[in-house]
Amino acid sequence: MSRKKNILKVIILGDSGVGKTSLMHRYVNDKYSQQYKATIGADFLTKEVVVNDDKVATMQVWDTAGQERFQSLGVAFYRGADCCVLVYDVTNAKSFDNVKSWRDEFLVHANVASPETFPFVILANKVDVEESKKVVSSRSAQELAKSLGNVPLFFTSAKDSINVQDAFEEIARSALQQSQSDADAYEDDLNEAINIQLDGEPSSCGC
Amino acid sequence: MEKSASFQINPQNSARATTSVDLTNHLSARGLFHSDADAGTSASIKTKSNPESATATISGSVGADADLNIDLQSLITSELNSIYPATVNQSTSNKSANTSRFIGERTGKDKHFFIFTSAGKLVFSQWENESHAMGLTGIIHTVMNYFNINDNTSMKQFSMYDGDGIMTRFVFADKNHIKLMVQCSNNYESTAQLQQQLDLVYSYIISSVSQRNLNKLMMKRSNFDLQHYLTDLDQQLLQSLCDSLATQQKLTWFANSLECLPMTPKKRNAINTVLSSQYLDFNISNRNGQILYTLVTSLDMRLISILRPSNHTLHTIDLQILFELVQLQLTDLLLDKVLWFPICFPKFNDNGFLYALIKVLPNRTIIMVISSQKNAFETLNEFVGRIGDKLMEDVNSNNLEFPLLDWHKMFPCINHFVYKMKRTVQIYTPFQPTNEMLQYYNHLKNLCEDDQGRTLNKSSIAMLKWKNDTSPGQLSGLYWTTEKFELYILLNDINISNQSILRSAKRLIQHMREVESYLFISRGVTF
Repeated sequence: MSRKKNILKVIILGDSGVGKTSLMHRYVNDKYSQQYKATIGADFLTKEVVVNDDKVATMQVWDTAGQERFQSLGVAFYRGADCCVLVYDVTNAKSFDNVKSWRDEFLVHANVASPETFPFVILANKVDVEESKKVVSSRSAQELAKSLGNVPLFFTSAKDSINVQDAFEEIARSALQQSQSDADAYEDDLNEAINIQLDGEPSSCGC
Repeated sequence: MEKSASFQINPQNSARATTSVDLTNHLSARGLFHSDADAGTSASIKTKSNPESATATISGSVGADADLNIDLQSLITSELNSIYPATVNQSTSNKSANTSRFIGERTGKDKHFFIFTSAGKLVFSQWENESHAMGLTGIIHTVMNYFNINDNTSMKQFSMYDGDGIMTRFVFADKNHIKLMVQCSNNYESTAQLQQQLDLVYSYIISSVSQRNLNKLMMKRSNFDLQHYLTDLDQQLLQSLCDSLATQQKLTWFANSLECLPMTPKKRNAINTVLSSQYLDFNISNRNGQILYTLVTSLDMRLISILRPSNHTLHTIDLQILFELVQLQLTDLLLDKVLWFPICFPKFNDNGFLYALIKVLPNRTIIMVISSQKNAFETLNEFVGRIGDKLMEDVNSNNLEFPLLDWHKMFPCINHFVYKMKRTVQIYTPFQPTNEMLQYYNHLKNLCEDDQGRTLNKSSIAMLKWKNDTSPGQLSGLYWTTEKFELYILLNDINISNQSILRSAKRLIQHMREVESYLFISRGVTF
């Protein structure tokens, strides 16, 4: 087997402006920019991660555009993901309501082998804002996470760097687990020989 | 149809020469990609916004349906503008600096191969910085999906220009579970040739994994990490294959054919006889299929003899891949090791594996025996041993090669030539052409082909003269293709008339036909 590291494909989904790109930049570059710039199509970042202190992998984060007009691009991105991150903004009730539809949209298009066990992580972003601006309660978030199958939930702030590292460590862990699940399926004897019939039809071209 | 053209290019700089037949130029407009300035490991997909000239560079395949492609181009151009509006990205003002960041970090190569899975997971790239390559993979994946570039659409490539007007082409191949792209900034290779190279690279992956296994693995789990599944040897071979496609293409790849060792028919027959008699001796007690193909080649992979079932032949690409594998392990073989490995021949049958035994015989030739049975090693090893003994006994192994020495005297003005016999898909050349010669041959060949690699006419001739003011390097060239042969000639003289070039070519073809039995294997031995 090759010494190459596992590639983990992680997709970040959520409404426009919830902070997907900021979270990713906070995690990968430990930077935050106040300025909002909508993602056009998609951004790709890679980071080497160490999971459970011993397994090294390359996490490839696919940051998608939240704006609806880019949705046609999104579909192709979902295929073959190892973990899907659902982000909402605690000051934006609609973005919270949409978490479930983002998850459904992902499952419809990603064509994952077993949807019940596919790892999702929910990030409730912008928790740095003052309490009066928060419109989504922690309790309703926890209820949602539970209803979607005990999905891990993190209250994060890309701006103040709250919980971002922890969240991405969990993301890396579940992605690695997903990428290695039923790995024993490949232990099959794949070296199947061809049944040659020497009296069969002539094949291919001459040499 | 006869075509001739003459114009000037600088031989030192021939990679950048363009001819009027380079239709890609006509169909593409300016535009560029660049990577995000603030993160070394990030990449994003955007287009440079410049309201006056902001159009994306897309060119469809060129040919009979050029109108269709122009429509496609304008459609895509307008789509791109609406998707990537001109308001973003004002921070990137220096156009050429950005362009060179994207394509400049190359290591002296004008080509780069990318292979990734349909999920966008990198399988192989020639970039040293892997995380950078992964970012680029994301972009390429997006471009292919957005523009729906696949084997069923006519769009297979697009091109862009940098600040110096150097064109870079991006040519794609979508093989369902695996996607491939080559980024190429030379302009002497046609899109069709680049696609053929992608096919060769893909075929190599299949030779290691088999199409059936690949389907099985990827259908069960589209997130499958194929890079992890390939062995170190696979990665090494992909690297060497892509490196040589990028820097030093082999003549056999260029001509889609195999090369034979020129031999006297008597000597070749003696070897053929040894193979067939040993096979007959051996096959009495053996089940069919145990010995499928037997090939003997020189150490530099020129065919000497082939023994095969009368109803099965081998495809050129399959053999090219086998030869690559063998060549990569030649050092081991020369230490008297025997190689035994499963190999899938993608053009023969991409569903399963055959098994190859490779050994260097005492007479310094390589024998390759292909079996359909995975536990046939002992039998095959014995078979090979007996052939080795018999060859030493029966055939004078010294000077197997019979070099054609007189061609230079007969054709003093001819520098170099390549003759391909189409029926047997074999070539003869007096010595391996340099990279530069191959570029000239490419140049000539492209004049007679459309962008899909189809010859414009059943029979075409192209003649070119290359002039250079500063050095004595002056060359004339001819390419002649018919249903029976292809001929490439370079002549050391620019003042020679087209008529006399043609006369020399005719005489050379005549000569090749006379010595055909020395140069080519017509059928091989069949059973």
